[in-house]
Amino acid sequence: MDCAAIQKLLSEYIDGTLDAKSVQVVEKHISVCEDCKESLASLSAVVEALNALEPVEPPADFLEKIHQRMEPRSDFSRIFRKLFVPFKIKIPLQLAAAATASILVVMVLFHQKSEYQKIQPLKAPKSEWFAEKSKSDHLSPEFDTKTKRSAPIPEETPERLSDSEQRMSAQKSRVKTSVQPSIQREYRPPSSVLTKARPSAGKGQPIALAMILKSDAIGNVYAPDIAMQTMPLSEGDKKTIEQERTDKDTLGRKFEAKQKNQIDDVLLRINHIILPLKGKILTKEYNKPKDRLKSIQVQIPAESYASFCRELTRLGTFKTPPPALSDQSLEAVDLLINFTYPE
Amino acid sequence: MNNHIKRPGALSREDTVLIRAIQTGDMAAFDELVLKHKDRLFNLVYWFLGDYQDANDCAQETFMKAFKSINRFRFESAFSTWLYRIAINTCKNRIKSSAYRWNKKTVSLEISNGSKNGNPCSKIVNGSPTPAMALEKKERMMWIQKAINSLPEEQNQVVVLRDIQGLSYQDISDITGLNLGTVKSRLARGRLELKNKLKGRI
Repeated sequence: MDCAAIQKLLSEYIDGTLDAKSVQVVEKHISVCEDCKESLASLSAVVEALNALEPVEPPADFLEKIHQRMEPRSDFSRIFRKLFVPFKIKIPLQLAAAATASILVVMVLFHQKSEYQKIQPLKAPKSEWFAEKSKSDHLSPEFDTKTKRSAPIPEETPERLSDSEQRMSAQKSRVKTSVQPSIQREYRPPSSVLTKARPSAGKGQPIALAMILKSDAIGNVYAPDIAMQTMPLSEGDKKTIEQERTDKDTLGRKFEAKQKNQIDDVLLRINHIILPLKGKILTKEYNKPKDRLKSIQVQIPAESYASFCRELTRLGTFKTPPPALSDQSLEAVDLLINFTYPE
Repeated sequence: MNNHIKRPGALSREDTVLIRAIQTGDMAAFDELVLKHKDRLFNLVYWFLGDYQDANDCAQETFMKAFKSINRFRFESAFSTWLYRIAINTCKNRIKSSAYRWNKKTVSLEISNGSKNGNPCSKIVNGSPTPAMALEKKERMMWIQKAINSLPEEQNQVVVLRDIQGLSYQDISDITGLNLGTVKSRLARGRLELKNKLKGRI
């Protein structure tokens, strides 16, 4: 019999439950095999050590505890006991650490979210805000001296002006202050600077352009080139248009009505230029006494900037050539165009 | 140890009288039965579970279950065999419970009752010749306990019933419901495993 078979019999050999024949085989083998002999010795030592273990005694109040557990308890006492008995489930350290980390992460994220929500209203699109504010201001133009005092317009005077010119400039700025929204004033260059075209210093500051409108651009909404673009005119229509032009020159009332429509004419022509270029008008400002369009702020795609400037020359001439775009990464540019009318 | 532990054997007359009394509602007889069997049962449960507090809880639960189902005892085997069967099932359920698994993964910072009430790992036996020998014995006990607790459940049961409780193969077979061959093979494997784990330590 080999060692493996003998090893299987050693446990029963120690217990003395082997039959006589098996006992003889085991004893014969271990007399010649040192490994199996050593294995028997160590196995016997283990069994002896287990047999020699001190008995573990139950606690002294073992029976008393059984009685307590067997007593029927009222609901109140059971709840009361559960409230004051220590929590029996021990939480592993890793789980406790993971739970704490999760709570911290959630708290930080929640905090950041609340902070973000606080900041969110300030990130409203500026152009929309301008449009809304400008519209409301235009509908109810009132002088607001408080606004003027609290947020004075930063005056840049590149050239020395005479006292009378300074007074006029101050009056103009006061009038402008009452009409313009407060935030728009910050981005708006002073009137004296508007005459000088300059590129925007940064995002949000429009490029200021100044141009003198051609006389035929005013009140010439029915210009043949524009009319042809919108709708082909029939012979009858052309006659009617010619008749109206004659009427407006001879009849004072109609001529006056036409003057009022000058704003719409210029706006209409600008719209004809802007819309194909996918731009939009942000704000408009008027010279109240004469009801003329004084300036207009538009937003056009940066790629259409050159085309837009070229198209504008159909309305008038620039006082200074439009500047080249310094920042090529811009998607859209804001332009503030100041109009001057021929006397 | 095996010398001072009474082996189950056949149903004793004393147990029969006590059980009959309990079946008629005599609680004093139950107390007497508990006091008679508590030490051996507690020792068995302790070596199954390896934790003094769990052993205390499970041993109490075993007696409570025995009391509740005492009317179903048929006097066909020794009371201790029947009681140990209940104890093994209770321990199996405890081992499967999530609370026990969690408990095994944690290290309790409390001073367990076992240190005061006979936990072999922390008890210095009175009458030890020298403190050094007592310490050596304590250390050896700790390694044995660790090795027994690391055995697979089926080997642990058979080794504890045989080498610590000193029961016969037949008693083990009756308690566990295993046939004799399985008991012998599991015992042989368990002992071999312990020998390898305790090599050079005892």
